[in-house]
Amino acid sequence: MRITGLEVEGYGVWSGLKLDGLSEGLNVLFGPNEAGKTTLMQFLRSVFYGFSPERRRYLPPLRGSRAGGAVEVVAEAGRFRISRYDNPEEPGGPDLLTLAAADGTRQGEHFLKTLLGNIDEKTFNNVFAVGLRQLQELAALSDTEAASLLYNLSIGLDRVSLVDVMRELAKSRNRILDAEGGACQVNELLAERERLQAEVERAAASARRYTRLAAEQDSLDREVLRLQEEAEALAQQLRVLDLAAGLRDRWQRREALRGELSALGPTAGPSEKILERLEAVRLRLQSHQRRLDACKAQRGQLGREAADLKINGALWRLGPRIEGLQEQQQWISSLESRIEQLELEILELESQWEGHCQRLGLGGAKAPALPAVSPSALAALRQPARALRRRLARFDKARQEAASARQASQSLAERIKAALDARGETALSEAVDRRGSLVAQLRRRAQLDQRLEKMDQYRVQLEDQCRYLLDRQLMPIWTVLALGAVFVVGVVLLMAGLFMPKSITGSLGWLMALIGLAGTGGAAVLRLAMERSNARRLEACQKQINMLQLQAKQAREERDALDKQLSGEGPVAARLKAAEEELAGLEELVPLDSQRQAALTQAELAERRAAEAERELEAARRRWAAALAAAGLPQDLEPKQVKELAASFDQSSEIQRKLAMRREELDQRRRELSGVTSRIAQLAAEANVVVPNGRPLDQLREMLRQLGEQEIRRKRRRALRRQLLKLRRRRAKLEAALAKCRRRRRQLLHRAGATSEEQLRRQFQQYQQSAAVRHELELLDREISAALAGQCSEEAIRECLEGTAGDTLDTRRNHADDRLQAITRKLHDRLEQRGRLREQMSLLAQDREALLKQLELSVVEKRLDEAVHRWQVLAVASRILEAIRRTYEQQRQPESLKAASGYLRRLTLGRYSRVWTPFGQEALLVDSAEGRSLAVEELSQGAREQLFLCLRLALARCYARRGASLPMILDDVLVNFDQKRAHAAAAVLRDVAAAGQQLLVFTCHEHLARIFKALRVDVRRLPDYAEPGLSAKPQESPKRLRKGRPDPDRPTHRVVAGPEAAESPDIEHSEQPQRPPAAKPADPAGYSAWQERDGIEVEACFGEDAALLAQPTAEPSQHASERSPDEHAEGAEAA
Amino acid sequence: MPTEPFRFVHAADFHLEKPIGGLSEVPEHLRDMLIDGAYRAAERVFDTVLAEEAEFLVLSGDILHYQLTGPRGPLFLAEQFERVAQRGIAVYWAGGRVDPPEAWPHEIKLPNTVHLFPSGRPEQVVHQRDMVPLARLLGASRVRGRAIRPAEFDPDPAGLYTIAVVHGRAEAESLRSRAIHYWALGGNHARTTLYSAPHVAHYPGTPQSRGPAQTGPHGCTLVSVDQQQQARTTLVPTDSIRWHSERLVVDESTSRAQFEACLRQRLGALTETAGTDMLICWVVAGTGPLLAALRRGNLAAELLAMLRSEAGQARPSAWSVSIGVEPPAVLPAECYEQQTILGDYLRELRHYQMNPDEPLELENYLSPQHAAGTLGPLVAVSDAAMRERLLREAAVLGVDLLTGEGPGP
Repeated sequence: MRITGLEVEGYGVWSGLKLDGLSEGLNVLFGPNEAGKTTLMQFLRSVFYGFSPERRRYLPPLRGSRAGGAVEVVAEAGRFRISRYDNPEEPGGPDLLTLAAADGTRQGEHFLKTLLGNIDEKTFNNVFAVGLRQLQELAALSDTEAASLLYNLSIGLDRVSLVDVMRELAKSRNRILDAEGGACQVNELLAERERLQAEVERAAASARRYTRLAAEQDSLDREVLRLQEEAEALAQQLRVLDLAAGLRDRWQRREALRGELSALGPTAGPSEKILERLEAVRLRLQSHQRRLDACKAQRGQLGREAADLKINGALWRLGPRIEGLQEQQQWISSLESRIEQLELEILELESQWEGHCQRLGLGGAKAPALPAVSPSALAALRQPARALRRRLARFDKARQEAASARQASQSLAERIKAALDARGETALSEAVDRRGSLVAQLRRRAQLDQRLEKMDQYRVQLEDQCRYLLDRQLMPIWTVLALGAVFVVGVVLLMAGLFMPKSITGSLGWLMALIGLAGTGGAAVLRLAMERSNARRLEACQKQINMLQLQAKQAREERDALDKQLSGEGPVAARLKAAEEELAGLEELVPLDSQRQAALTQAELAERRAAEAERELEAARRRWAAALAAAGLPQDLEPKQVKELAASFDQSSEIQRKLAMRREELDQRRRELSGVTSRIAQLAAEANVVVPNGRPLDQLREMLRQLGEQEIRRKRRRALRRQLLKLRRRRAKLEAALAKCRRRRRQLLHRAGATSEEQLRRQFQQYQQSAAVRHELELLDREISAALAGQCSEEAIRECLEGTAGDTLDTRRNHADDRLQAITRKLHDRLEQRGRLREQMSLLAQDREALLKQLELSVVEKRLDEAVHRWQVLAVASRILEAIRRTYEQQRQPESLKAASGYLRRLTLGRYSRVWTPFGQEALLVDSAEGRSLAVEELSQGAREQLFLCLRLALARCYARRGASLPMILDDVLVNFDQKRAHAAAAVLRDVAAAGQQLLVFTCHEHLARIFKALRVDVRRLPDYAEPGLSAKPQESPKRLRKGRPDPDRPTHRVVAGPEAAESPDIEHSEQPQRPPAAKPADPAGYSAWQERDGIEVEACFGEDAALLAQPTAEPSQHASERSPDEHAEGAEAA
Repeated sequence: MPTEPFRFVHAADFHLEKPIGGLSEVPEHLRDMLIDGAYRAAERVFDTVLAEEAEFLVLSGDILHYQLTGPRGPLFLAEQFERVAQRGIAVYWAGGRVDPPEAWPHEIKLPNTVHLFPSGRPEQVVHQRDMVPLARLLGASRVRGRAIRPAEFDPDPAGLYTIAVVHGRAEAESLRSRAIHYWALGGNHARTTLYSAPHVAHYPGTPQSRGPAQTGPHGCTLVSVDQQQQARTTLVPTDSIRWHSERLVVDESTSRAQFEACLRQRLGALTETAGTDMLICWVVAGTGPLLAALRRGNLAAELLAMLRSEAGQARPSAWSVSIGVEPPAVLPAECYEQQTILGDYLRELRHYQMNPDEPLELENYLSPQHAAGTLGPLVAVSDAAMRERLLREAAVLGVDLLTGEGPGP
């Protein structure tokens, strides 16, 4: 975009100013001080970017015209007129902006931004519309996009800026971990970690607190125990005192009785004894008389009985003979038994003989003919027979073992199968596994139930506690009243201290006020503290309830999950028990299964042994048959038969011999029995004892029985005789005892001094009276003992009662009661204190604060690890890129700095050769011709302004390459330049303009105007703003100068667009169409190549300067020498 | 020497003072589980002792830090000890780094069935069943700064089954030479068996894993000893929440929809088979634009939100902790051959990879004061694996930045 004209309707000092026909190149506007140059620059800024608050100081116009104006511009899209006026109806409101094309069509505000190349106002003010003040501030650039054009390198793929990358890396790195220790993520995390560690330590202090509380609790326990013992002792004392009070009357009665007893004096003890003895004698007399009568009656009865007993005399005489036969009774009986036994033996021997003969195959018992076997033949048969017997026994044993093992295996298998069928299972191991798994699940299920039950109980406790705490939130009325009273008293004291006359309060006024203030504040603080304490406890309780509910929920979920997995119904315990029983039942089958397997194996082994034994048996049979044949015996004989045959002869002889002996003995016994029988019969006849059809033994027994009866009768008669004799002696004794008793009674009466029993009894009544007193005493003793009932001793009661009046007893009791109440209160306090301690300990035991902080700490540490790791990755990338940066720093710089270096070299006449920036830093260094790098601050003011001017020119060119070609307005920026450098600057400006950059240069210095004139630049003088309707006019030949063509009447000069020539072919090609054809310089042979190497421009019109510029290389000097004489002349004129 | 068969439970490293960590953000619904995870796992250990009707319980150290747990930890343990004591089951406990026997608070009484081995030289206890010696336990609590001394543990001369209870690291050969029937070791949070025949040296690991590095089931060990004194170890899982790392591979053709489907399928499979709450770290490897999108943009966060919303709130929960991208071991060769900054960058990086002794000197990015303080050791690259990982991630970062595809670090 280029400005072709402007029209200021009213702006500051200007009214009706009109400038038209502005050149597309360099335009110099000359005017004295206060001519309105800066106002004009501000006008342009206002038209392009609006009336900002700082520019509104130019409004309203001094001359009263309408505030605003218009600027005519030409751009690629055509010609446009931009007019902006202040809104008169709404001062300070939105401007009235109009953007009209040449054909009258209007565009929106956005199009103005397009025309301005999207350059923001700040950049425009610091790069394109620059006054001396902006020029002197490099820092003004730092916040603009222009800074990046100065300092950045763009050398990455896809034009990624390495500086951007490194800067972003550094930013990111510093965000994570600031190298200088500023605010950053890691520092925040470290601080957070430190804070959490401190909190964890604080939370961990609860362990020490718990220890302290436990120690306090122990101390309290001991104190409670001591107080309980004291209370018990006092209670005992009270009981003793109560007992003493209750027993006081009886105690006194007992003491009175003891006095009365002592007053009666000793009673006549002997009289009592005599009375008792007399009574005893009387009783004995009566007894002896009764026994004597009984003795007489018994004698009569015994005499009658003796007369009734009769005696058989014949039998009694034959007694010795009968008793002699009695001794042979055993023999007779054994004789009969032996006869019977012999008969049986004979029968048995006969049957045995018959069986023996039949077994040997010898027919009946009447034909015994036993074959004889020689001992040698028997010896030859013994070995084969023994072998056959062994084989046979082995075979039988193996067969039996196999059968029993097989049977056992089958039995076990049937048992296992029956057990599995009963449980619906087929395989034992799988069934055990399934039941085991089921039992484990059911156990877990039961544990969950128990846990849930515990949690429910605990939750109920917590809810109760919660309710209690909720109730406690509303403070008790007595507490409120107490606090209120303290508060009111405090207020009263405060008011009294402050407002009561000093005459009343004296020097205590301030003290009262202070006490009142303390009381008021204390009451308020105490109330607040109590409320907060309750709230904290309630919150902790609710937190525990929530936690408990969550845990219960999780447990229920786990229980539900288990329920889903567990099929079946009924109580879990029952199911678990059933499952355990089933599992136990199945596990009991496991050993059976092992036994079954073992039995199977055993059966197979036994069968194999049986088969082998059978083969060996057959061989043994064959050997036996051969041996029989050799012995001449039948081959079908068994070894047993052969053996029996060998032994048969001796056995037969033995049987026959026994049979003969038994028969002979039988005959002899029968003869002996007959002799004894005849003797018995004879005796029975002599003794008149008749036993019809009796056996001898029966007759003998009858005689013996009757003889026994006679003996009994004789003995009875002798006994009766002895009893009669005894009774006679007894009667005599009783009669003597009666006489003795009578004598004794007389003696007793005589000893008591009494003549009769009546007198003796009167003496005894006195004795009975003292006995009653003693009895009452005993009763009282018992009552007192019963009342004490082991609670205390009589000594304790005596101690209380004796020597103590009733009122003293009551006083002691009241005193003890008071002490007991005090101790009870103290005990109650300690118990409450202990309860509070236990509550605190319980809260501490449930406290999860430490774990919560640990969790937060782990989160912070995790974030810290991640941040540090990220920082490390970024740092590694930065380190690698820095290594690359060092390589690139000296090789490539931003194109803007390269262009600025060229301008600076020309402008300073070669004094400074290069301006550059360290990589990644927003700082400029200037290389002097001597090779020194100087910071901007080290330059003089003039050199610094020259540097900054060069930078702005380079920046404008850079923007132009990016498509934002805007006119530059320079307001008196050359004022501090010396003559030579001002001339060089004018030449640079002219060449820059010739390269396509429109420049509007304002100056108030005539020498500068002359310099520009000397360079054939369009120089216009600004009109006096006091003359309305004036327009700026060129000082000379404006038409020619506007077109930028060289004046044929003046020495000509060559203008070379160095920077363009230094660019890459692509860029140069793309930018060339924008340049005005008139400014395109000629390019003599070889000159462009030189420019490409150094990237500088050469102003050839100053011979002396050109010589300076030519110093670094030989070629420039060569070019300088090739300049035309006209150019030399022009340079001299300008100088 | 034949012995009566018996079973016992071996556990260690409860660390009741440590919640489950490794998360950079804590989901609210898992907060209680993370806090109480160690307690729940410990309770399940005691449940196992009761359910299996074990003869005794052996604890090999690092059960709890008394100061950090507060009174809750010792009270909890005392309650659990009382549970097993009611069934007549003994507990043999050797202290570790954090639970020396002298640190147990005296005001909390332990049941008589709990035997706490003293520090220093091993102490011998003979466990009896029906007044008949069943096993001999030799135990010693750990002494700070001292390694295990296998020479102090001798087998029983009469051949009684001997269990050595101790906390710390030891060489397998030095333990094997002592001919102890069972080394009940602690101090390794991963379940490890140093050797299993003819004798056994075993670390049961922690009952509850606490970080993404501790994946898989954790629990206690049920040891069954037969008549020939041969021990058989069985893991009984006790963890209430389990870490899992799932690696997925994508290629150039993998689309987002396919990747989401793959994630859902894997998540469903994990949820079905796990049976317990899980914390899942997803690691994506391979090549392709999806991997780059995961690395640079918000895709990872979106997928993470999707996974958490689908399975993170369910019971049992499968909470996706992160979706990370595994940096490739080697980038394509053409990247290294570029004559660009990227090429220079990768070649310089390769130089560091091939010269592991060349220091990275990351401390230079700190001020000298900070480098000498806590930050210096914090950022120092200590081991080779970490260095290699850093270089690989830096390579990927450089590619992202220098090709202009990344959003910036």
